[in-house]
Amino acid sequence: MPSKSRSVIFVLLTLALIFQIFPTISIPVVDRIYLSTYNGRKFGVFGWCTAKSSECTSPRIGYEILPLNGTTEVASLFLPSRAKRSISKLLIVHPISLFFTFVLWTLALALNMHNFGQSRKILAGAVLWSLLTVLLSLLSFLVDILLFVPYLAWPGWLVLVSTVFIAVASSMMCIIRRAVSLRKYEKLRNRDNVELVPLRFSNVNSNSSKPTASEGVSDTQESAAWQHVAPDQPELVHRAV
Amino acid sequence: MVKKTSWRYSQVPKEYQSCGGIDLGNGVLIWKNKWQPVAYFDSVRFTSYCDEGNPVYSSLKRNRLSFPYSKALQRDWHTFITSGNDRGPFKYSIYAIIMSFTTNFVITLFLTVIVFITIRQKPHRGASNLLKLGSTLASVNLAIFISKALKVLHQDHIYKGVVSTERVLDLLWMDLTFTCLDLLVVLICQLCQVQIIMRLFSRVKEKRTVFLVGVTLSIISQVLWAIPTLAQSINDNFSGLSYDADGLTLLSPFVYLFRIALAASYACIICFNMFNKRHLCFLYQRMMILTLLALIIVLLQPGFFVADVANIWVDDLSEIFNTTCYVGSAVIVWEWVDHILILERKVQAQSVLGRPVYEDDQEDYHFAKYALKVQDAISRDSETGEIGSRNDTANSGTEEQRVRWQYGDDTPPRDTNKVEFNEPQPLKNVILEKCSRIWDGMIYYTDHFIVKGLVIKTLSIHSKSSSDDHRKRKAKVRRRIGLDRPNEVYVYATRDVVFDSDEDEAESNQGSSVDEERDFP
Repeated sequence: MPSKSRSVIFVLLTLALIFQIFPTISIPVVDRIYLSTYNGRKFGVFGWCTAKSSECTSPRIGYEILPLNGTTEVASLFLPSRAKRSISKLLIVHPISLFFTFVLWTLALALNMHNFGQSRKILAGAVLWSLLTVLLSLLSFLVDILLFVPYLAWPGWLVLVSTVFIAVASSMMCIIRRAVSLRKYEKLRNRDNVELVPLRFSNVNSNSSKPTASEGVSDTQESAAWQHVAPDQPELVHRAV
Repeated sequence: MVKKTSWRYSQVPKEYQSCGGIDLGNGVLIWKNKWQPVAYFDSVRFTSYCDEGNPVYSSLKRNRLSFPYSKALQRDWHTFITSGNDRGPFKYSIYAIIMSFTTNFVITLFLTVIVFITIRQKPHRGASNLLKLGSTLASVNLAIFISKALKVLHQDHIYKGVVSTERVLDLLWMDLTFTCLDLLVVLICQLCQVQIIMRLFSRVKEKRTVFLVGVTLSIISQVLWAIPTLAQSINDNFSGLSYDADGLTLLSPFVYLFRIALAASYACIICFNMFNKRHLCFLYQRMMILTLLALIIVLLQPGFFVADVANIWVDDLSEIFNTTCYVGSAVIVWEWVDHILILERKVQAQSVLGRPVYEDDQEDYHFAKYALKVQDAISRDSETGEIGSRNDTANSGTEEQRVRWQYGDDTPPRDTNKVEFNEPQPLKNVILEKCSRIWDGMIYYTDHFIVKGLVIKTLSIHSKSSSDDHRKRKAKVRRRIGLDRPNEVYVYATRDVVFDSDEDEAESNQGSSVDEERDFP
């Protein structure tokens, strides 16, 4: 049964994934979703359309200036922020970010399963992947801001919310990694209950050292090492839990 | 004019009448030369001196005898300063720009002085030296730039009688010295920021991850930043070289946003830690001020992005502000982290449990290694004094050696009886071996920064007024963390504490009362 925090991570990442889908499927893929509307034009990730006649450019990376519906376009007035048209190619970070979020979502799904959820390597990988995802998601939002401010529509602001959700999920994954790591360590070490071990190296005499055999020692190599350096009067006390 | 923001359309300049020329008509008497002081002209056309298409107006001291400006020129000047263009209003004038340059220089200089006075050398010697180098370079860079800018302005004033902002901004984007030093300063400051984040994490594995991810991202951002910036600078300085402006137009804003994203992530981490440790941040007034200062400085860079999006003036000067922001966010936050960690250790020293030890520390036997190192040093000292017990010490030496092999400190000896053949290893093994070597090297380099953090030598040493004080403090710290009793190394583990039940307690009370009755009949 998945823990509560893992379920929260999954829910957060699901929401983040949905929020990132909206800008990616914006105009010209879906007519009603757009990143910005300015000067009679509606902008999406893969193109733009005219506001009145809904005539759109073909889906591609970067905007192309076409005289749609008989209108003439002035390059410097094309985007709200006076950014050059070629900068719109940076909107490619939206689908990349969506891909990263999707992979993170599948990792979160895997973490809810018993087999993968206890693996420290998968957890560490998920944390690292989430860092990249946060960075890319933030980058997508910054690109939107740079191109469309002050006319950014709600799908653009959803990317900011998505970034915050991924960041929170990333922090929670980090906490889970710590917990799993501690649990594994305790499982490994807590078979013995070592009470007190004073080490006196200066009194070490190999001839007189008496090895203190103990029951239930898990790490034999380690115990052997401690036995070699034990003092004349053994003070190593092992108690089986 | 060279503008770094090549990815933005510059505003179309207005056409001013005085710059294009004004027809004054005929019948005007003017002074021509000493042989012909007055002359009659049929048609006079006056063209005012303009700076890049913009009207200029004298800001020199005027008196009654000074010639008045023509009405057309005055009208143009009024239009220039009141219309919302990129250069006209006062905030774009040379005064505002010089003030921002000098203010940034003074702040950076001030931060450099702070670094040299207050930042402690230990326990992070490498990082504090890096911080000193970065802040010094930033100060030197800004000093060089300001002297160059003043020289340019001086020459313009002498030869043209105009003090132009364009020339100073051109210098900012074209000067190769400034660009190269700035690249170095920002890289150093970013590495210092990585060190700061590493200090905020307690676990060794997390520190390693932060180090590897942080250094990689810093280097990537600086390399990407250097490509368009240096290409443009070199193209401006050395004509005739091929320059792919279109390709670099896309890279420039990407790097700009990448840097902002990194700065925002850094700000988030610091703010999150401030929130987590808020009880320490607002413990006393000085700490409160430092916390607020650190908060403002880490939010400055994302704040400048917002200001830049709203106002292009900031964008033109972004490099100057960037330097100060980076130096500030490294120096002030370093000092804040220093204070927070000291307060945290003080709280831990006063608590029953002491400093928390994590499983990561134990996994690589750091404590065992540390105990062995201390013991090794002490036994070496004692060996020099004891001549007669050579055999015993040799035996104990072999025992200690064996323990060291056990914990991976030294490599175990080769078995001399084993026969080895020089057989070629499979390619897969060779690649795996090489990869593991690279990985081990990276981990060793990371641990070089981390191990010092594990064995904290100083807790609250800030000033080194006298060597006696220093020695006393050192002895105190040694006593506190148990270094004065190196032979007594204890390993603890958790254990269930079983309390006596009430019945047992009652029984024991009865027993003791009986004993008392026996003692005192």
